[in-house]
Amino acid sequence: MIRRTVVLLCLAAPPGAMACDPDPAALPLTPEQSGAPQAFLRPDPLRLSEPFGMELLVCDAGPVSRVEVDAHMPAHQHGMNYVPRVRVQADGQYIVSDMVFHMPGHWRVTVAVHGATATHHYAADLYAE
Amino acid sequence: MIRALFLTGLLVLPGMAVAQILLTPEEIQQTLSHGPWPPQLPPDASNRASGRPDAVALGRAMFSAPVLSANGQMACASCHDPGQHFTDGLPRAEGATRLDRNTPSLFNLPLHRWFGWAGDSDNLWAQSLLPILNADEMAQTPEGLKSTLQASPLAEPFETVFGPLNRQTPTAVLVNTGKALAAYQETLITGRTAFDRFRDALQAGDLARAGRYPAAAQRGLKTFLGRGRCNVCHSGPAFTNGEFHDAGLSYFITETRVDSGRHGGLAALLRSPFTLDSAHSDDPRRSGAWAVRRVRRTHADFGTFRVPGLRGAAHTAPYMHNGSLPDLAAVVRHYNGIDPERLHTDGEAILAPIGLSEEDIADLVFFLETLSNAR
Ligand code: HEC
Ligand code: HEC
Repeated sequence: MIRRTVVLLCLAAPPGAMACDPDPAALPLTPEQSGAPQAFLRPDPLRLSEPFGMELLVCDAGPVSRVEVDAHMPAHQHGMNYVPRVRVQADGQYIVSDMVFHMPGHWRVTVAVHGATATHHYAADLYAE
Repeated sequence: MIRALFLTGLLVLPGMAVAQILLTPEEIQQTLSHGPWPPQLPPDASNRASGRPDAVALGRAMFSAPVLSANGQMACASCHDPGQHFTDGLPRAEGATRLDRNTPSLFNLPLHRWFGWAGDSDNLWAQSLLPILNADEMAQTPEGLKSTLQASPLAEPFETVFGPLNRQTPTAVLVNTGKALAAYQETLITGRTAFDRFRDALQAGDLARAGRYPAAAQRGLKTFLGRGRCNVCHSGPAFTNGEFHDAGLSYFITETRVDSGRHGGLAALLRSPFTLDSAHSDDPRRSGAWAVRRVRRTHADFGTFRVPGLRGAAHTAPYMHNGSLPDLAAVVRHYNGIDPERLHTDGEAILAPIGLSEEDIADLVFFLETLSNAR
């Protein structure tokens, strides 16, 4: 299901876009506003209440000054007890670490990509068991 | 596999009582997440004494040695009585005065990330040296501890593990004492229980064996996983997510004094010179230090307490950070009739009245008792 969506999105990328080659298992991030560059998330295997990491790929975003990642549980009115760390791995590629989902259920990951002229906000839904 | 077997959940074997599994496939999956037990535990990389038999023996001797306290009267075991599952049976501990909190049991500590009701420490050796220094507990100074140790029969085994005392600063002696105490406490792991035999039989698909787990315990487990939503916080093999929540207890110590819980615990943690991010850690990789570096402070920390593990809990009454609930039935009744008004307004929305009948309450207590081998 996820696999298929990713393939379609890649085909739809405008010609001339920066090489953007997400892992087939990556999760497309939903932008808050249309026109935002495509972005993908690839979380490491999740273990409840244990730290995990994610790879973040932002396609063709131009110069990015800062990327922020956070998560919360919409049903429970609370977020994570830790501030995740975001490191640049390569152009448009980021490594997110120190994510901890300490309760089972639906978590919403939010990503803010601060570019030269605009900030793009994204979200993705993950489930912890 | 389990799913297929579930359909034949009602087994009648010759010469045996009816063995029945009351759980749905989803509940079986959830049940499996509370094991296996005991867990495989690597040594604590931040503590070079961890796992060393001589350090464990030293820590055991120190744990019961009043000589370590300033007045020679109080030991760890005065409150954490090995004969009472490492508690004192009191609502709140008695030190030089009555302390603000209940004495927790010391089982299954290696499964925690934070120590103490409010998580004042991110490691067991740092938590173990707090009562040595606390004026209301053992009331030592590092200097006093060093000279006391030097003059005691513990000097020799201490030097075998940590080297000559006269070449260690008083702070190093204090930290090494914490590390020996931690090496001992790490060995305190609760045994396998009726619940574990049930869980492992489910995992093996052996429904006849699983069916020996009493129906009342299974009904209680269903409430724990379902209506009660207890496993939202009491998750994993130790039945705790290791984090901090508001379970709707009063945080007033007296009419005018409050226990700020995690709020104060974080302040103490961030002031502590003995975290996993400090030079006192023996782990060159500082593997666990991410937590103290990245932990977040929020308003919602106020009045939250660490979720206790539930293994062995049947033996450690009274309950909660202030020891205000006398038995497991009182705990279940507390959750059953919880007053959402008493939960923080800026806190999380998880707990709500459950609507359990007297029979449901008895079943849930029965289930909790099977985590303690009390049944
Ligand atoms: C006067 C009673 C008393 C004495 C003496 C005492 N403790 Fe405690 N202990 C407590 C109380 C009360 C708490 C809970 C403290 C808190 O959360 O603020 C506690 C908490 C702990 C914890 C945290 C457990 C957990 O679940 O995180 C450890 C570990 C511990 N004590 C070890 C020791 C050691 C080791 C000694 C001796 C050096 C000792 N204690 C002496 C009463 C005592
Ligand atoms: C929102 C998270 C949360 C949920 C849900 C929850 N608990 Fe707790 N539980 C806690 C916290 C936090 C404490 C300690 C509270 C305190 O001391 O103030 C606790 C304490 C306890 C204790 C006392 C343990 C001890 O050693 O003192 C028991 C028993 C217990 N819970 C059982 C249950 C049961 C049964 C349920 C379901 C009906 C449940 N819990 C649901 C967070 C939770």
